[in-house]
Amino acid sequence: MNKEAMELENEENENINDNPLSALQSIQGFLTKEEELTFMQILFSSSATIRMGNFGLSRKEVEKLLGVNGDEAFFSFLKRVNQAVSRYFKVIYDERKNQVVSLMRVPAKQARNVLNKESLAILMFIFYHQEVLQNEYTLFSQLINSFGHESLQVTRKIQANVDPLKKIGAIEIYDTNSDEEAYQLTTIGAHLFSDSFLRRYAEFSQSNQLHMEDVLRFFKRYNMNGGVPDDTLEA
Amino acid sequence: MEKMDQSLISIFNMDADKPELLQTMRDMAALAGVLNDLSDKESFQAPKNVLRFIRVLNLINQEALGMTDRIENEDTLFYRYRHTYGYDEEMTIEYMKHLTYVLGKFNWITKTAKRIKMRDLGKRMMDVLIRLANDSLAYYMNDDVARSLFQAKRDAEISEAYDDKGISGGNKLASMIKNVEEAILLLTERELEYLADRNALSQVEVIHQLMKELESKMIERLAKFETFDQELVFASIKQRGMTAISEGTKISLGTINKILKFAHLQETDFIETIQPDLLRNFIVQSFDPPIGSDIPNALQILSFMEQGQYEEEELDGLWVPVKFASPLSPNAIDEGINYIENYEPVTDEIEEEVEEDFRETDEIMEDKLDEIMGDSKWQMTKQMIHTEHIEKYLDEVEEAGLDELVIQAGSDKWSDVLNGLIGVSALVANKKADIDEKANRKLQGNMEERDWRWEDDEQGSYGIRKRRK
Repeated sequence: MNKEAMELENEENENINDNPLSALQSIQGFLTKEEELTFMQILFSSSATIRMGNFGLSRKEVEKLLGVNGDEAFFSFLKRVNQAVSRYFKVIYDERKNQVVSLMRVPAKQARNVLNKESLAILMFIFYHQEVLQNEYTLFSQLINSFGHESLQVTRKIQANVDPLKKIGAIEIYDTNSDEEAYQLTTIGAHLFSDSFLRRYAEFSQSNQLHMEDVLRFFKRYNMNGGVPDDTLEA
Repeated sequence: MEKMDQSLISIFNMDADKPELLQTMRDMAALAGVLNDLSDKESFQAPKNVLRFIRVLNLINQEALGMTDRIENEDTLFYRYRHTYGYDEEMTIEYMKHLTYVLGKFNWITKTAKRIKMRDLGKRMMDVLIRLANDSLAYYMNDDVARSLFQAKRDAEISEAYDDKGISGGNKLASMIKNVEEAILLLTERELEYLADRNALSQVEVIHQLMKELESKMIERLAKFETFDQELVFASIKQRGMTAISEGTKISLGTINKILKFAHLQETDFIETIQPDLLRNFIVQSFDPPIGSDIPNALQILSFMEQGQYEEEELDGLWVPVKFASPLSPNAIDEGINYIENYEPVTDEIEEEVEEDFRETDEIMEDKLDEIMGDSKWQMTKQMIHTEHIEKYLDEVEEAGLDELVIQAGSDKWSDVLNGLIGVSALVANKKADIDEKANRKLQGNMEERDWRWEDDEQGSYGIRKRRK
């Protein structure tokens, strides 16, 4: 890329940054009125503060709002919403819990205030354990065994850092029929880390640079958006 | 250093009536007077005026040291000022005359018809002023973290310059340690910012350098004070100091390590396979990495992303469930405003009516005791044996033959009759009914349809009477 082209691109980026929400204007072109209203409903209902652990809408509710039935219409809606708002929002569908949730993108600078380093490390562990190694759930004792040697009051420390994860709905208690507590990653948890964050994390762990493709493949994130072309992919 | 056990010269340890002390205080008052005369009138202009004043002082001082020609009068001073510091609109002959007048008034200079000369008092005081100003300048030229460190280092130097010569530099050691602690607090807060800044390395290196210098200086200073009679007082300060400084060096070193690691990462080749065990280890380490290490925690990784080395990664932090406040209805807003506007605080004292907390004891007379106890027993029996049908039937007819009762309340099936008999015996046992063996009531008919018989028909003729309350 020559210098001029780069400047041009920067200028474009600046325009977007000047008025970031102008992108939301264009959503009209992608969605019908019903779909727009449904999207807004999803935004409100995903609010963690309002519905206490019960984020989002069920697929049925969404379909009712849209006035449609069936896979095609439902997924087409999700796909188009995500295309329109991908810079700021992401609407995801958790089949297992039957909920449609919207996530908002938090830039690196503000992301530091979302969760502390311990919670993030625990979530990363559960994420790796379930998404990459394909375990169904993660036991509390597995967390203790992995992070335990770092501090004295392990149990309390781990518990204190697991709580915020439960609160934002990233993990949930999994019923294992044993007396041991187990956690399962929710769809929110599976989507919480951005691709770039996973890449940086992996790079530090490997002490080498990595291509985004390889990172996404490793974390089984390839095609996660159900065929939505991911524009953050770099060759 | 020869007489270290003797206490230092300090205005705080001096008898308040000593003429030396009074003279010292008079000098200070003169300094205050001079400054006051200069800055009070136009506080907005004060910084510039003070600078002009110090410049003039410097000119007079240079003459006093024999570095320049002697000063004949205000005119000489005025032109010399122009020559040295350039044209300055505000600096007029009149102002210069005012300055020399003020200085003369407080005995900093003597003014004769032939020359202007600096006096001893003026020399010492202006030394103080210029040192003060230069210290400040050096302080402000550092960034926040370095400022505290600079101050700490300065404290160490002052302590060295004065304390060792038997003149108290004030609580410079304590001040030094306090400054180090503050710097470390700031550094910890700032670490993420430094990581987010592509060019922070040199800045952090400066801090680390300062930290290291300070470490050796502090050890040196603290060692000197070992012989002091205040050793006990210093023991805790010393402890604090050593902890702080070693933590500080670790943090600054850790920050440098992380920045270097990150920078180094940019130079490596791209690899294609990710090794799971390395990732796993890293996840565990990032939980709470030791401060001096080059392992960034999750938040620090986010800081690195702020640098935006890869396209758009600074935008791509985390995805979290959105939090929107739900829209308020106009009614709710109205109510809220109404509440705020019409809210009247309760001004009267709240009178608390003390209600006597007296519970009447449940008294049971002796003769009723049996009944109540019996009743509870009965309730328990009823839980076990179903007597409802029999009781109901008895309520209707008051008195019935046993045979009649068990068949009417149940059926002529053997199992129902059995239940009925158990029920009757329960009633009788709990004194709810009486049994009259001589009643000789008639048996019900249809003996043929029954799958059971009385052992002795007489039993069926017993009369059962409901007992009255």
